[in-house]
Amino acid sequence: MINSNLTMGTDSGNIQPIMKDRRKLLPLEDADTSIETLSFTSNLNRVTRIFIENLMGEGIRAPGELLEIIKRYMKIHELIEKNFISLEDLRRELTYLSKIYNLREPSRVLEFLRNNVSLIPLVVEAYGKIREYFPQADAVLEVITDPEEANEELVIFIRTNLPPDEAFKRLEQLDKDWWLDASYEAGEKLCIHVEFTEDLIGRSI
Amino acid sequence: MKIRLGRADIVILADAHNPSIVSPMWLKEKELIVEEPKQFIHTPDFSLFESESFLLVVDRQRLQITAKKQDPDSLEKLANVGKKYIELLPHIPYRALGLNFVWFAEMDEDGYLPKINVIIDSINDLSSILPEHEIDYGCIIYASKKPYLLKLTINPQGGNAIVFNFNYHHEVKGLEIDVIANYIDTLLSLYRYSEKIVEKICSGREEND
Repeated sequence: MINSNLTMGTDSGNIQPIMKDRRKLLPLEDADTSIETLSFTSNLNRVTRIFIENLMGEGIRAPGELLEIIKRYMKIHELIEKNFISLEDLRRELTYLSKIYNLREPSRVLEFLRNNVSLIPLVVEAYGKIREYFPQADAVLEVITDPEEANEELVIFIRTNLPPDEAFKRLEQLDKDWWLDASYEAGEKLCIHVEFTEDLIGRSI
Repeated sequence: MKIRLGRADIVILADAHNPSIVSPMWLKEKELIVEEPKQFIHTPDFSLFESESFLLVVDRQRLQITAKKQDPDSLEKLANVGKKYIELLPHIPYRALGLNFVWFAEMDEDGYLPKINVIIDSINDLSSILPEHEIDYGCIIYASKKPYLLKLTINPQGGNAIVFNFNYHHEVKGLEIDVIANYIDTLLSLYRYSEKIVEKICSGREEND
Protein backbone atom coordinates (compact mmCIF):
# COMPACT_ATOMS: atom_id res chain seq x y z
CA MET A 1 0.00 0.00 0.00
CA ILE A 2 1.23 3.49 -0.74
CA ASN A 3 2.78 5.15 2.27
CA SER A 4 0.25 7.92 2.59
CA ASN A 5 1.79 9.45 5.70
CA LEU A 6 5.05 10.08 4.04
CA THR A 7 4.55 11.68 0.69
CA MET A 8 0.82 11.90 0.00
CA GLY A 9 -0.06 15.18 -1.65
CA THR A 10 -1.49 17.88 0.56
CA ASP A 11 -3.14 19.82 -2.23
CA SER A 12 -6.89 20.26 -2.20
CA GLY A 13 -7.66 17.74 -4.90
CA ASN A 14 -8.93 17.92 -8.44
CA ILE A 15 -10.09 21.50 -8.42
CA GLN A 16 -10.32 22.78 -11.96
CA PRO A 17 -9.46 26.37 -12.79
CA ILE A 18 -12.59 28.50 -12.81
CA MET A 19 -11.56 31.42 -14.96
CA LYS A 20 -14.66 32.68 -16.71
CA ASP A 21 -13.40 32.11 -20.22
CA ARG A 22 -12.41 28.56 -19.33
CA ARG A 23 -15.82 27.48 -18.10
CA LYS A 24 -17.07 26.56 -21.55
CA LEU A 25 -13.93 24.65 -22.36
CA LEU A 26 -13.56 22.45 -19.29
CA PRO A 27 -15.67 19.42 -18.51
CA LEU A 28 -17.72 19.55 -15.33
CA GLU A 29 -15.97 18.19 -12.26
CA ASP A 30 -18.26 15.17 -12.06
CA ALA A 31 -17.62 14.36 -15.71
CA ASP A 32 -13.93 13.60 -15.44
CA THR A 33 -13.06 10.81 -17.86
CA SER A 34 -9.34 10.85 -17.14
CA ILE A 35 -7.71 8.15 -15.08
CA GLU A 36 -6.42 10.76 -12.64
CA THR A 37 -9.44 10.49 -10.37
CA LEU A 38 -10.20 9.12 -6.98
CA SER A 39 -11.09 5.75 -8.46
CA PHE A 40 -8.41 3.93 -6.47
CA THR A 41 -9.97 4.75 -3.10
CA SER A 42 -13.54 4.34 -4.21
CA ASN A 43 -12.92 1.01 -5.94
CA LEU A 44 -10.95 -0.33 -3.01
CA ASN A 45 -13.65 0.77 -0.56
CA ARG A 46 -16.29 -0.99 -2.62
CA VAL A 47 -14.31 -4.19 -2.85
CA THR A 48 -13.54 -4.14 0.87
CA ARG A 49 -17.21 -3.63 1.70
CA ILE A 50 -18.23 -6.49 -0.58
CA PHE A 51 -15.77 -8.86 1.06
CA ILE A 52 -16.78 -7.81 4.58
CA GLU A 53 -20.49 -8.22 3.77
CA ASN A 54 -19.71 -11.57 2.27
CA LEU A 55 -17.78 -12.64 5.35
CA MET A 56 -20.43 -11.38 7.77
CA GLY A 57 -23.38 -12.72 5.86
CA GLU A 58 -22.84 -16.41 5.70
CA GLY A 59 -22.16 -17.52 9.25
CA ILE A 60 -19.15 -19.29 10.64
CA ARG A 61 -16.66 -20.56 8.09
CA ALA A 62 -13.90 -23.13 8.18
CA PRO A 63 -10.39 -21.65 8.62
CA GLY A 64 -9.33 -22.95 5.19
CA GLU A 65 -12.25 -21.20 3.52
CA LEU A 66 -11.50 -17.96 5.38
CA LEU A 67 -7.92 -18.14 4.22
CA GLU A 68 -9.03 -18.56 0.61
CA ILE A 69 -11.32 -15.53 0.89
CA ILE A 70 -8.53 -13.45 2.39
CA LYS A 71 -6.11 -14.56 -0.34
CA ARG A 72 -8.64 -13.61 -3.01
CA TYR A 73 -9.21 -10.25 -1.35
CA MET A 74 -5.47 -9.61 -1.30
CA LYS A 75 -5.16 -10.47 -4.99
CA ILE A 76 -7.97 -8.08 -5.91
CA HIS A 77 -6.54 -5.43 -3.58
CA GLU A 78 -3.22 -5.72 -5.44
CA LEU A 79 -4.99 -5.58 -8.80
CA ILE A 80 -6.84 -2.39 -7.86
CA GLU A 81 -3.73 -0.87 -6.36
CA LYS A 82 -1.81 -1.56 -9.55
CA ASN A 83 -4.45 -0.21 -11.88
CA PHE A 84 -6.11 2.63 -10.03
CA ILE A 85 -3.52 4.19 -7.80
CA SER A 86 -3.36 7.81 -8.76
CA LEU A 87 -0.45 8.41 -11.08
CA GLU A 88 0.20 11.59 -9.15
CA ASP A 89 0.66 9.69 -5.88
CA LEU A 90 2.82 7.11 -7.56
CA ARG A 91 4.93 9.82 -9.14
CA ARG A 92 5.51 11.43 -5.77
CA GLU A 93 6.55 8.14 -4.21
CA LEU A 94 8.91 7.26 -7.03
CA THR A 95 10.37 10.75 -7.07
CA TYR A 96 11.12 10.47 -3.38
CA LEU A 97 12.69 7.02 -3.80
CA SER A 98 14.89 8.18 -6.62
CA LYS A 99 16.18 10.95 -4.36
CA ILE A 100 17.15 8.74 -1.44
CA TYR A 101 18.42 5.73 -3.39
CA ASN A 102 20.81 5.41 -6.29
CA LEU A 103 18.99 3.56 -9.04
CA ARG A 104 20.72 1.17 -11.42
CA GLU A 105 18.83 1.04 -14.71
CA PRO A 106 16.29 3.55 -13.35
CA SER A 107 13.55 2.77 -15.87
CA ARG A 108 13.68 -0.93 -14.95
CA VAL A 109 13.54 -0.19 -11.22
CA LEU A 110 10.68 2.28 -11.64
CA GLU A 111 8.76 -0.15 -13.85
CA PHE A 112 9.20 -2.90 -11.26
CA LEU A 113 7.89 -0.62 -8.51
CA ARG A 114 5.00 0.52 -10.67
CA ASN A 115 4.02 -3.12 -10.99
CA ASN A 116 4.61 -3.82 -7.30
CA VAL A 117 3.38 -0.66 -5.62
CA SER A 118 2.82 -2.48 -2.34
CA LEU A 119 6.62 -2.71 -1.96
CA ILE A 120 7.15 1.06 -2.03
CA PRO A 121 6.49 1.76 1.69
CA LEU A 122 8.80 -1.08 2.64
CA VAL A 123 11.56 0.23 0.39
CA VAL A 124 11.14 3.68 1.95
CA GLU A 125 11.20 2.23 5.48
CA ALA A 126 14.23 0.11 4.63
CA TYR A 127 16.21 3.22 3.80
CA GLY A 128 15.68 4.61 7.33
CA LYS A 129 16.62 1.28 8.92
CA ILE A 130 19.73 0.90 6.77
CA ARG A 131 20.82 4.37 7.85
CA GLU A 132 20.65 3.24 11.51
CA TYR A 133 23.04 0.32 10.93
CA PHE A 134 25.12 1.73 8.07
CA PRO A 135 25.12 5.52 8.57
CA GLN A 136 27.82 6.16 5.97
CA ALA A 137 26.73 3.69 3.29
CA ASP A 138 25.03 4.43 -0.03
CA ALA A 139 21.86 2.52 -0.77
CA VAL A 140 21.32 1.25 -4.30
CA LEU A 141 18.22 -0.24 -5.92
CA GLU A 142 18.59 -2.74 -8.73
CA VAL A 143 16.25 -5.23 -10.39
CA ILE A 144 17.89 -8.63 -10.70
CA THR A 145 16.61 -11.54 -12.73
CA ASP A 146 16.98 -14.99 -11.26
CA PRO A 147 18.42 -16.93 -14.22
CA GLU A 148 17.04 -20.26 -13.01
CA GLU A 149 13.46 -19.21 -12.41
CA ALA A 150 13.33 -16.13 -14.65
CA ASN A 151 11.78 -14.22 -11.74
CA GLU A 152 12.62 -10.61 -11.14
CA GLU A 153 13.40 -9.29 -7.69
CA LEU A 154 14.31 -5.88 -6.38
CA VAL A 155 17.56 -5.79 -4.46
CA ILE A 156 18.68 -3.08 -2.05
CA PHE A 157 22.48 -3.06 -2.11
CA ILE A 158 24.10 -1.41 0.89
CA ARG A 159 27.34 -0.07 -0.56
CA THR A 160 29.80 0.11 2.27
CA ASN A 161 33.51 0.43 2.85
CA LEU A 162 33.33 -1.34 6.21
CA PRO A 163 35.48 -4.47 6.61
CA PRO A 164 33.44 -7.51 5.46
CA ASP A 165 33.20 -9.05 8.95
CA GLU A 166 31.81 -5.86 10.42
CA ALA A 167 29.44 -5.32 7.47
CA PHE A 168 27.99 -8.82 7.66
CA LYS A 169 27.64 -8.54 11.44
CA ARG A 170 25.60 -5.36 11.03
CA LEU A 171 23.51 -6.89 8.26
CA GLU A 172 22.73 -9.88 10.46
CA GLN A 173 21.67 -7.54 13.25
CA LEU A 174 19.43 -5.60 10.83
CA ASP A 175 17.89 -8.92 9.78
CA LYS A 176 17.18 -9.95 13.36
CA ASP A 177 15.93 -6.59 14.58
CA TRP A 178 13.69 -5.66 11.66
CA TRP A 179 14.00 -7.27 8.23
CA LEU A 180 12.95 -10.85 9.03
CA ASP A 181 9.55 -9.65 10.26
CA ALA A 182 9.19 -6.77 7.85
CA SER A 183 10.01 -8.82 4.77
CA TYR A 184 7.10 -11.20 5.31
CA GLU A 185 4.81 -9.03 3.16
CA ALA A 186 7.38 -8.67 0.41
CA GLY A 187 7.54 -12.37 -0.36
CA GLU A 188 10.49 -13.03 -2.62
CA LYS A 189 10.26 -9.74 -4.46
CA LEU A 190 12.61 -7.68 -2.31
CA CYS A 191 15.90 -8.46 -0.57
CA ILE A 192 18.83 -6.65 1.01
CA HIS A 193 22.51 -7.37 0.41
CA VAL A 194 25.76 -5.65 1.22
CA GLU A 195 28.07 -4.61 -1.58
CA PHE A 196 31.63 -3.51 -1.03
CA THR A 197 32.98 -0.39 -2.61
CA GLU A 198 35.76 -0.72 -5.16
CA ASP A 199 38.21 0.94 -2.74
CA LEU A 200 37.74 -1.86 -0.28
CA ILE A 201 37.90 -4.58 -2.91
CA GLY A 202 41.18 -3.05 -4.12
CA ARG A 203 42.58 -2.99 -0.59
CA SER A 204 41.52 -6.53 0.28
CA ILE A 205 43.07 -7.91 -2.89
CA MET B 1 15.68 8.62 -24.51
CA LYS B 2 13.07 5.88 -24.68
CA ILE B 3 9.37 6.56 -25.25
CA ARG B 4 6.79 3.93 -24.34
CA LEU B 5 3.06 3.67 -23.76
CA GLY B 6 2.40 2.83 -20.10
CA ARG B 7 -1.34 2.31 -20.24
CA ALA B 8 -4.45 2.86 -22.32
CA ASP B 9 -8.02 3.01 -21.07
CA ILE B 10 -11.51 3.79 -22.20
CA VAL B 11 -13.71 5.49 -19.61
CA ILE B 12 -17.45 5.80 -20.22
CA LEU B 13 -19.56 7.83 -17.81
CA ALA B 14 -23.30 7.29 -17.63
CA ASP B 15 -26.25 8.26 -15.47
CA ALA B 16 -27.01 4.61 -14.77
CA HIS B 17 -24.63 1.86 -15.72
CA ASN B 18 -25.84 -1.57 -14.69
CA PRO B 19 -22.97 -3.45 -13.00
CA SER B 20 -25.26 -6.34 -12.13
CA ILE B 21 -25.30 -7.61 -15.71
CA VAL B 22 -21.56 -7.44 -16.21
CA SER B 23 -20.73 -11.00 -15.18
CA PRO B 24 -18.04 -13.25 -16.70
CA MET B 25 -20.81 -15.30 -18.30
CA TRP B 26 -22.50 -12.26 -19.86
CA LEU B 27 -19.17 -10.98 -21.22
CA LYS B 28 -18.52 -14.37 -22.79
CA GLU B 29 -22.04 -14.95 -24.10
CA LYS B 30 -22.11 -11.56 -25.77
CA GLU B 31 -18.59 -12.11 -27.08
CA LEU B 32 -17.47 -8.89 -25.47
CA ILE B 33 -14.51 -10.54 -23.71
CA VAL B 34 -14.30 -14.25 -24.38
CA GLU B 35 -11.18 -14.84 -22.29
CA GLU B 36 -11.51 -16.69 -19.02
CA PRO B 37 -11.60 -14.48 -15.92
CA LYS B 38 -8.52 -14.34 -13.70
CA GLN B 39 -10.38 -12.30 -11.08
CA PHE B 40 -13.93 -11.11 -10.89
CA ILE B 41 -16.42 -9.51 -8.55
CA HIS B 42 -20.02 -9.28 -9.59
CA THR B 43 -22.52 -7.26 -7.50
CA PRO B 44 -25.44 -4.90 -8.22
CA ASP B 45 -23.36 -1.78 -7.52
CA PHE B 46 -19.91 -2.74 -8.67
CA SER B 47 -18.38 -5.33 -10.97
CA LEU B 48 -14.77 -6.08 -11.72
CA PHE B 49 -13.45 -8.48 -14.34
CA GLU B 50 -9.82 -9.23 -15.11
CA SER B 51 -8.66 -11.50 -17.92
CA GLU B 52 -5.32 -11.96 -19.61
CA SER B 53 -5.80 -8.93 -21.87
CA PHE B 54 -8.33 -6.68 -20.14
CA LEU B 55 -9.42 -5.18 -16.86
CA LEU B 56 -12.99 -3.96 -16.76
CA VAL B 57 -14.43 -2.12 -13.76
CA VAL B 58 -17.94 -0.72 -13.68
CA ASP B 59 -20.03 1.04 -11.06
CA ARG B 60 -23.29 2.91 -11.61
CA GLN B 61 -21.60 6.01 -12.97
CA ARG B 62 -18.37 4.88 -14.51
CA LEU B 63 -17.08 2.11 -16.73
CA GLN B 64 -13.33 1.76 -17.17
CA ILE B 65 -11.81 -0.74 -19.60
CA THR B 66 -8.04 -1.08 -19.52
CA ALA B 67 -5.86 -2.91 -22.05
CA LYS B 68 -3.21 -4.84 -20.16
CA LYS B 69 -0.97 -4.92 -23.22
CA GLN B 70 -0.21 -1.76 -25.09
CA ASP B 71 0.52 -2.89 -28.65
CA PRO B 72 -1.69 -1.59 -31.51
CA ASP B 73 -3.46 -4.94 -31.85
CA SER B 74 -4.49 -4.87 -28.19
CA LEU B 75 -5.65 -1.27 -28.52
CA GLU B 76 -7.83 -2.22 -31.48
CA LYS B 77 -9.36 -4.98 -29.36
CA LEU B 78 -9.86 -2.47 -26.54
CA ALA B 79 -11.78 -0.17 -28.89
CA ASN B 80 -13.91 -3.13 -30.02
CA VAL B 81 -14.81 -3.99 -26.43
CA GLY B 82 -15.82 -0.39 -25.73
CA LYS B 83 -17.86 -0.14 -28.91
CA LYS B 84 -19.59 -3.44 -28.44
CA TYR B 85 -20.48 -2.56 -24.85
CA ILE B 86 -22.42 0.54 -25.83
CA GLU B 87 -23.99 -1.21 -28.82
CA LEU B 88 -25.21 -4.03 -26.56
CA LEU B 89 -26.59 -1.53 -24.05
CA PRO B 90 -27.90 1.35 -26.18
CA HIS B 91 -30.61 2.36 -23.70
CA ILE B 92 -28.11 3.53 -21.07
CA PRO B 93 -27.90 7.35 -20.91
CA TYR B 94 -24.19 7.85 -21.62
CA ARG B 95 -22.72 11.18 -20.59
CA ALA B 96 -19.04 11.31 -21.46
CA LEU B 97 -16.29 9.28 -23.04
CA GLY B 98 -12.59 9.40 -22.25
CA LEU B 99 -9.88 7.86 -24.40
CA ASN B 100 -6.78 7.84 -22.22
CA PHE B 101 -3.11 7.19 -22.85
CA VAL B 102 -0.19 7.43 -20.46
CA TRP B 103 3.20 7.76 -22.11
CA PHE B 104 6.56 7.62 -20.40
CA ALA B 105 9.67 9.30 -21.76
CA GLU B 106 12.60 7.78 -19.94
CA MET B 107 16.21 8.72 -19.81
CA ASP B 108 18.34 6.24 -21.70
CA GLU B 109 22.09 5.82 -22.07
CA ASP B 110 22.09 9.14 -23.94
CA GLY B 111 21.12 10.85 -20.65
CA TYR B 112 18.72 13.22 -22.42
CA LEU B 113 15.29 14.36 -21.25
CA PRO B 114 13.52 17.48 -22.50
CA LYS B 115 13.54 20.39 -20.10
CA ILE B 116 10.18 21.83 -19.12
CA ASN B 117 10.01 25.56 -18.49
CA VAL B 118 7.08 27.68 -17.42
CA ILE B 119 6.60 31.23 -18.62
CA ILE B 120 3.98 33.39 -16.95
CA ASP B 121 3.67 36.70 -18.76
CA SER B 122 7.14 38.15 -18.58
CA ILE B 123 8.34 35.83 -15.80
CA ASN B 124 10.33 33.03 -17.32
CA ASP B 125 12.41 32.05 -14.32
CA LEU B 126 10.44 31.11 -11.23
CA SER B 127 13.60 30.67 -9.21
CA SER B 128 13.54 34.43 -8.67
CA ILE B 129 10.11 34.03 -7.05
CA LEU B 130 11.01 30.85 -5.19
CA PRO B 131 14.62 31.53 -4.25
CA GLU B 132 16.57 28.72 -2.55
CA HIS B 133 14.03 26.16 -3.78
CA GLU B 134 14.74 23.18 -5.93
CA ILE B 135 12.24 23.59 -8.77
CA ASP B 136 10.81 20.93 -11.08
CA TYR B 137 8.30 22.08 -13.67
CA GLY B 138 5.33 20.20 -15.05
CA CYS B 139 2.30 21.49 -16.87
CA ILE B 140 -1.31 20.94 -17.91
CA ILE B 141 -2.42 21.78 -21.43
CA TYR B 142 -6.05 22.01 -22.49
CA ALA B 143 -6.51 21.71 -26.24
CA SER B 144 -9.96 21.71 -27.76
CA LYS B 145 -10.70 20.28 -31.20
CA LYS B 146 -14.15 18.94 -32.02
CA PRO B 147 -15.31 16.45 -30.92
CA TYR B 148 -12.94 16.26 -27.97
CA LEU B 149 -11.21 18.31 -25.34
CA LEU B 150 -7.68 17.09 -24.74
CA LYS B 151 -6.23 17.48 -21.27
CA LEU B 152 -2.53 16.75 -21.43
CA THR B 153 -0.75 16.59 -18.10
CA ILE B 154 3.03 16.54 -18.22
CA ASN B 155 4.79 15.54 -15.03
CA PRO B 156 8.49 15.13 -14.35
CA GLN B 157 9.25 11.89 -12.53
CA GLY B 158 12.31 12.06 -10.37
CA GLY B 159 14.67 13.44 -12.97
CA ASN B 160 14.70 10.13 -14.82
CA ALA B 161 11.42 10.22 -16.67
CA ILE B 162 8.54 12.40 -17.77
CA VAL B 163 4.94 11.19 -17.71
CA PHE B 164 2.54 12.39 -20.41
CA ASN B 165 -1.05 11.77 -19.44
CA PHE B 166 -3.51 12.24 -22.32
CA ASN B 167 -7.26 12.45 -21.66
CA TYR B 168 -9.32 12.86 -24.84
CA HIS B 169 -12.61 13.83 -23.25
CA HIS B 170 -15.80 13.65 -25.35
CA GLU B 171 -19.17 14.96 -24.21
CA VAL B 172 -21.68 12.39 -25.52
CA LYS B 173 -24.90 13.23 -23.70
CA GLY B 174 -27.86 12.79 -26.04
CA LEU B 175 -25.78 11.52 -28.95
CA GLU B 176 -26.73 8.50 -31.04
CA ILE B 177 -24.93 5.25 -30.24
CA ASP B 178 -23.42 5.23 -33.75
CA VAL B 179 -21.78 8.59 -33.11
CA ILE B 180 -20.33 7.45 -29.77
CA ALA B 181 -19.10 4.25 -31.42
CA ASN B 182 -17.38 6.35 -34.08
CA TYR B 183 -15.63 8.33 -31.35
CA ILE B 184 -14.41 5.09 -29.76
CA ASP B 185 -13.21 4.01 -33.19
CA THR B 186 -10.72 6.88 -33.14
CA LEU B 187 -8.80 5.22 -30.27
CA LEU B 188 -6.06 3.88 -32.50
CA SER B 189 -5.60 7.11 -34.43
CA LEU B 190 -5.53 9.13 -31.18
CA TYR B 191 -2.99 6.68 -29.81
CA ARG B 192 -0.75 7.36 -32.82
CA TYR B 193 -1.42 11.08 -32.58
CA SER B 194 -0.51 11.12 -28.89
CA GLU B 195 2.69 9.22 -29.64
CA LYS B 196 3.55 11.80 -32.28
CA ILE B 197 2.93 14.62 -29.81
CA VAL B 198 5.22 13.01 -27.22
CA GLU B 199 7.91 12.43 -29.83
CA LYS B 200 7.73 16.01 -31.00
CA ILE B 201 7.81 17.42 -27.49
CA CYS B 202 10.77 15.23 -26.65
CA SER B 203 12.65 16.12 -29.79
CA GLY B 204 11.98 19.81 -29.20
CA ARG B 205 10.42 20.23 -32.61
CA GLU B 206 7.40 22.40 -33.28
CA GLU B 207 4.13 21.08 -34.67
CA ASN B 208 4.05 22.28 -38.26
CA ASP B 209 1.62 19.97 -39.98
